[in-house]
Amino acid sequence: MKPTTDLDFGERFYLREAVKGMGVIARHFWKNLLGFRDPNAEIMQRKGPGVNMVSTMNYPEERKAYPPGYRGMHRLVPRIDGKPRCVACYMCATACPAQCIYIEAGEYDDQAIEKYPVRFEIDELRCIVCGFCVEACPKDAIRMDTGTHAPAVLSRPLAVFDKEALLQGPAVEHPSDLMTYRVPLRTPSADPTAGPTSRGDVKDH
Amino acid sequence: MTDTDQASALEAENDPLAVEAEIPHSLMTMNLGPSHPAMHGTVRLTVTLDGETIVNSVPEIGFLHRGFSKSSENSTWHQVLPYTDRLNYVSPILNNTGYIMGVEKLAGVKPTERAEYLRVLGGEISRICDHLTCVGAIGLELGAFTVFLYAIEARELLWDRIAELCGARVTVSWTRIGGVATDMPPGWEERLRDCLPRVVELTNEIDTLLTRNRIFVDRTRGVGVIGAEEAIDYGFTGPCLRACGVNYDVRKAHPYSVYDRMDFEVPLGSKGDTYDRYVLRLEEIRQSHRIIEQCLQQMPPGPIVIDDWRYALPPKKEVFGSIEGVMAHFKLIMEGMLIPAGEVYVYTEGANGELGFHIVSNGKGKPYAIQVRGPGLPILSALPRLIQGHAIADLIPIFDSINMIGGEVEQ
Amino acid sequence: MKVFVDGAEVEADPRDNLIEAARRIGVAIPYFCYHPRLSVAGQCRMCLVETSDAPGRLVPGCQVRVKEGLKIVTTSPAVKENQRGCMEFHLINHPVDCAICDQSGECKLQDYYMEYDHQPSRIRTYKLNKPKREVFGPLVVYDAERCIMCTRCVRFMDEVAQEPQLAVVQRGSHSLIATFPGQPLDSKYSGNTVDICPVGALLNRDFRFQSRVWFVNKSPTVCTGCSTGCNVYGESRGNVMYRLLPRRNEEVNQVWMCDEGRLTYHATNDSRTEWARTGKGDAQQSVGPRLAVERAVELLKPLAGKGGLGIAISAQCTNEEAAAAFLLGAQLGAVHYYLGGNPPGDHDEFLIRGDKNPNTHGVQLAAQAFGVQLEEPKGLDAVKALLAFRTEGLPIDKLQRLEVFIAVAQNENAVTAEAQVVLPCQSVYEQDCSLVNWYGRLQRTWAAVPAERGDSAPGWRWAADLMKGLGAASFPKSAGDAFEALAQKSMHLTGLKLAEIPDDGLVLEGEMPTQWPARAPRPGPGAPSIRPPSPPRPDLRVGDEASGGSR
Ligand code: SF4
Ligand code: SF4
Ligand code: SF4
Ligand code: SF4
Ligand code: FES
Repeated sequence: MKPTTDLDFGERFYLREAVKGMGVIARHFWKNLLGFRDPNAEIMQRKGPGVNMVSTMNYPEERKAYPPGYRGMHRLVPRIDGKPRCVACYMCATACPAQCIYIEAGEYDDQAIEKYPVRFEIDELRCIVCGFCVEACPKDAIRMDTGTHAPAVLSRPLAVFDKEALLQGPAVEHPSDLMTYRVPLRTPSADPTAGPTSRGDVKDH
Repeated sequence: MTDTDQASALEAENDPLAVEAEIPHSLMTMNLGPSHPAMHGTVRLTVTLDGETIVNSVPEIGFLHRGFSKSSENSTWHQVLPYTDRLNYVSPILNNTGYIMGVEKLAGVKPTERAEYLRVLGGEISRICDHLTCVGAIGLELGAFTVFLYAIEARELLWDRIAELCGARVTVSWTRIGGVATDMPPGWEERLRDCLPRVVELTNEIDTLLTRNRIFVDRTRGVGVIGAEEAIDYGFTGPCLRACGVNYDVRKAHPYSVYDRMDFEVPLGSKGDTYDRYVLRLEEIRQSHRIIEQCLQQMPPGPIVIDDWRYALPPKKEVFGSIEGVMAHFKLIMEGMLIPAGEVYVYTEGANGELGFHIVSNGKGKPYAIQVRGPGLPILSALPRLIQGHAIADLIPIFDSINMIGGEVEQ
Repeated sequence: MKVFVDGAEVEADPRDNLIEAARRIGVAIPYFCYHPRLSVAGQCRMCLVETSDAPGRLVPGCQVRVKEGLKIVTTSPAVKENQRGCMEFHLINHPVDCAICDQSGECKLQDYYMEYDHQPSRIRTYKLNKPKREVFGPLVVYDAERCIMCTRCVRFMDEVAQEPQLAVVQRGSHSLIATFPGQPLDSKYSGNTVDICPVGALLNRDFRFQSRVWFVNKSPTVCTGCSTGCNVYGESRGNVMYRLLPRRNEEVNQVWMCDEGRLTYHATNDSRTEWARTGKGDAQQSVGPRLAVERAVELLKPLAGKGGLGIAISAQCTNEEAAAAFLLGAQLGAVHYYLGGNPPGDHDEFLIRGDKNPNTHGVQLAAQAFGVQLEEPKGLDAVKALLAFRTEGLPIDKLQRLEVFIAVAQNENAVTAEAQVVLPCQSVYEQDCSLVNWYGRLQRTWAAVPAERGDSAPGWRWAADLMKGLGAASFPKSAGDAFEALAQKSMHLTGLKLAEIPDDGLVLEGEMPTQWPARAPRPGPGAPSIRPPSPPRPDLRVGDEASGGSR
């Protein structure tokens, strides 16, 4: 390819090229002015009589939904009984390059799963939306499929979302959950005064 | 005022030419940036002007410094990916690919066939985005705002596709050791095929508006010229080097991934001026389009990531349901992939030139050292040479045509 | 004795088994059930290797001893295949528990899986159910599903703790570890079973769910629970300590420690004196370190050289704190020195000593070096002003009587409530310092907790600040300085520097007791760690004038 050829007379004369340019712009102009506005957010699929494909969107009246795989705001996935699937394994906090996940673990006294997050907080301001937490979770307990982004806030502490705020959306079950839901055998403890098996137990679940 | 001064002042009053000569004549120093609306990225230029002519200039970087190398040393191999997103943030997939190829080379891992195609596909989309940004901005900065809008419209279409593919528009963190994170979602291929003609159409319109436009040509032709040899001496690569007529494109010269199976041309310029750099980018958009079409055609079915649990996270089903899977998963997340000790330099064709990663591993889950050869830095270092002697008004178009990306220049 | 491990020549000890011989040149033979300090059980079969003695057969590396010229092969296909198959067997009934298992991150199964197996599961049936979360004793909880039946815990209780409280019950894949009816695992050494359990079957109830092991930083330090001074690792994140783990020292604690010692870190986390303050009761005021020291100086100055001033030093103080306290005492002309400390507790024939203070011996050595007489704190009546370095063992009723009471204290308690000035002291786990254990072993500790709390500083720093405030020309500026001030006076420490104390410590000979508890680990006669005392060189003696001419 040789891009640099000298301009011929017509080109040097401005006018020819100017008219050509006007042509391009006029096409866009008429399309935008008269084109039938199809509010379909998917611009490429806009249909309509006459000229379609007006490529702008009247935000905020028209909004484009985030695509299905889009990494949006986090949510903690509930089990069918409404409790978080999360078992406070800290994998997400470990994988997170922004170190924005804070977890404190506690113990269920009556369930095979034993461990759950007493506190689970995500600082959405620190989050870089990389999705590594979702990838790292071995329980499918954290997802970014809310289809929305972290909302704007008026002060930094408000960007820290706690467990209650994050626990939302449809419950999820996996066939492999059966294994963790079974009732464990428990032999009577040798120490009747045993109490909880971990220190600092929180029983308010 | 001494007597002689008074005398000469009187003399000057009678002689208009002498008046001219007496006007104090000095150079002016002006700061451009770091946050000037016309600046392309956060960089400061201290320009010394003689009237309107640039006598000298000193670019100063560091306003976007994020300590890429040091931060990487404290992250696992995968955690480095978000940092690479932010090198050239207009074409993150190219950076992701370049980096992960280095890690794969160290590990002796070959990504799956499909992943290779996906990477090339995503990379070329990214390249188009990058060139569109540059071309659009050059129009914008010469007063052709329409061009910018068209370019951004085309780029938006592609970024929407990238968002569907990777889950994010810009900060994609998409590649993984041995593959990529997500496959093409259903219907994505059609949507991409839908919007590519539109992108080409918009590119052609930009072409019509600018390429033969005398105002544009006069402002860019013969401006910011650099010869082939000098460009090589400065360490130019990519479009800026090819605009000087040097046929060097890593994709052709040292084909990596599946580029050897792609049929495309390497456009070349001749003069090495702003105009050549602009035209070349337009042409590269068309070539990238060709590559994308071929990728879509040749895309083989199959897994998107290798099945080697030492380097790739096990499939979710195994993690949820088997102890083997969950153990491998835990080890990989806790410690990172244990990449064999060694040292590599991998180089790929980034949007602005050769993007090199020098990676050292000591066998641990975190890189021992990473350095980046960003294509932007050598080119930026030649900027004073490019703009010297030109009018201040030419600075911005020249600066734009080298397409400096702050994140890449200052890792 | 020469043997060959994968072709490489190794100079092995005749008592070595194959695992130990290979370890000498860094070749790792994987094992679960073998433990260098326990008898060999041959339970897990992970250690099988090939030898020239039995070609074509696999022999357990834990059980077979080396012999001259033996060739050991650890990388043959048969060995590899056994390791892989062995892992697969161990994992057949293993629960998918890593997410809730405290062991992950330090679990042998995880490590070996990545190294020797890394293939997907082939099991298509449900796993066996066994008891989970069974409380074995005050410190230990058991999960039978995770147990790989290596019997290390059983052997430990039999052989080391010598309280057989655990046993294998049931048969085949149903077998599990159990305590005896009515007899919980309440041995004083039960925590060690958690450490030696290669998987997450036995877990420490104190540490359980508190943190993940890869988040905590490990640093070598010395347990403060009793005068044995077990070598330990302190693990912390931020300024919170999470646990203590035994660190190997064959002459002090081998690789064990007692349960009580494991919990001593709590005093570093809880009810700390954080801020320097003046006044007591309602008049309490956090004033910052500078003003607090000024106030203390104000109180002490009129008393200097007048008599009636006592200094109490707790046996919890480090050598450096003791040295600085004696220097300060000399400057103030203190007349009485009291040795406080935790009250004595129970003891046994193994690790636990009755003296529940880590540095009684060290404080005594320092007192000897500075030529002062240590008295019982119940004789507090003799003074009207008291400066206390750490507050253990001070009789609270006698403190109310004092005109001036200044305390350098680590934790809030009834004693600090009585003090006019409280200067917060760092715990031993937060300092670089040295301690002397019951038989005269000088041991170095390193700060296990990086961040400082509030105004807290090492005790010697407070002493130095007071010395400075009272007009001393020279005062210790670092822990090394404080130690040197002591070393220049003590014949046992002559010429030593804090930084030069070996990691394993030194025995200051001549202080070795003649009576040893039957099973207490000790240096053999002529062990390299024994250091003969020598009188201090007179030209090195400094600060004699400050020490009141005691020498
Ligand atoms: S998306 Fe990334 S940065 Fe955000 S919480 Fe998850 S891992 Fe952390
Ligand atoms: S990785 Fe999943 S299960 Fe583990 S703590 Fe995070 S959300 Fe909970
Ligand atoms: S014992 Fe090890 S492999 Fe088993 S659940 Fe615990 S961490 Fe995972
Ligand atoms: S509890 Fe632990 S130490 Fe005891 S047999 Fe089971 S795996 Fe071994
Ligand atoms: S270590 Fe030899 S059989 Fe377990």
